[in-house]
Amino acid sequence: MTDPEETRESGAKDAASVKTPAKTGPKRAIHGPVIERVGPGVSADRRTLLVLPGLGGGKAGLVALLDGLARTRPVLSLETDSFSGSWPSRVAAILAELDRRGLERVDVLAWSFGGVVAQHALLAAPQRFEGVILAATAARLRARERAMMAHLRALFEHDLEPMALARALIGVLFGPPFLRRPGVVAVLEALLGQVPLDRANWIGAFDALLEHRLERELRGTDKVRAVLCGELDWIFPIDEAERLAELVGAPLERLPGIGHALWIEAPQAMIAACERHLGPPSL
Amino acid sequence: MSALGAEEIRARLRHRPPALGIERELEVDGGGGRRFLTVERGAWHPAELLDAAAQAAGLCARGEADPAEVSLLVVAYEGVRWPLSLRALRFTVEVRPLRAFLSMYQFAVKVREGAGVDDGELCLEAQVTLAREGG
Repeated sequence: MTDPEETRESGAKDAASVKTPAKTGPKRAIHGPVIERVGPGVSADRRTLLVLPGLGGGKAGLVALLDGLARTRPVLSLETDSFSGSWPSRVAAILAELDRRGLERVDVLAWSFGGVVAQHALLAAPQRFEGVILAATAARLRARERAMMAHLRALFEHDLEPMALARALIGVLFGPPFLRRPGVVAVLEALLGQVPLDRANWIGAFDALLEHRLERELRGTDKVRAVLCGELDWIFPIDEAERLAELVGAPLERLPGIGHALWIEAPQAMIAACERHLGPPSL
Repeated sequence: MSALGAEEIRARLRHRPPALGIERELEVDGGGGRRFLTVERGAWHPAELLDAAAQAAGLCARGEADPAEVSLLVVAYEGVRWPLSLRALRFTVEVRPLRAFLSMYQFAVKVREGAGVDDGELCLEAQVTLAREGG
């Protein structure tokens, strides 16, 4: 494992390479884990890559992914399920966080729910974003996806044990080939079952998703550099990724044998996509 | 205490191939943790390696107990650090006991590439908490 030369982090409980305590100050708009990474030899003056993970973040896998991304550019990860409200209020929270850090313009890697947040942010403040990569996400939810979100919302409304919720999620988050690997289901059950769930925030996120439809608005957007999708994505299927790529005029990268959880199943593909499509980070 | 061989490990764990992740214990001089060699696989994902590390921790917690009588479950993985990918085909798992309380056992595990004792690259670390099934 490679530790970045400089690491600042607040809120995340599962990262070991904390070298500078979190800043204390005025209450932030983002309440959940905010993770910063700057790899060895990378100038902090380079354009930052804003990472917007999906619901639940990524936990163990997220740290390795951020370290990998930080080899070439500063990385700022905002956990997108840590705040609630309408899409405009979620976007405002992200922009406020960028303002607070003096980041006028960033690149973006966003996936799943974070990818939806990124679409709304891109439309609200296109001048704040240089290049955007959207992964495992969609421009809209059709009846099938809305039914799935409504069902997940109902599960979260009931007083199920975290492990029961984890089991409900595992089958839809990961591709079958990944889950066939020895011991993987048991490990995922334990890891996901430990994730602290703010049920109100998750329910709010499902409500927001049920209203997500940006087909018309996204057409002609020129900031999206690539769309990534696992071919076995059960949540936002490959045909919706094709639709999204067509709308924003970006190439679609299909990842064979991979499910929705790209950040755990194929993190290196996400890093490679950033290097390929975002180019060298400029000042 | 002599190092556990393949047959002893199979007797102490309920896991069977391909779920069995530990092949044998390595002889180590001096104090500190116990070290185990994983089985060889064509490709490992970090989640598989974490499961193998939990199996090694289970061997340390179980002692001589019969697995039919004492069943251990993973109740928590904490402080997990795993890499983007793994290149090696087998690994060395070091297990150090942290604390035992009632029916709970907590271990620190470190996994290095290859079959060496200390010279392989550190690729995974975590705290694993096990509990006796049924308390």
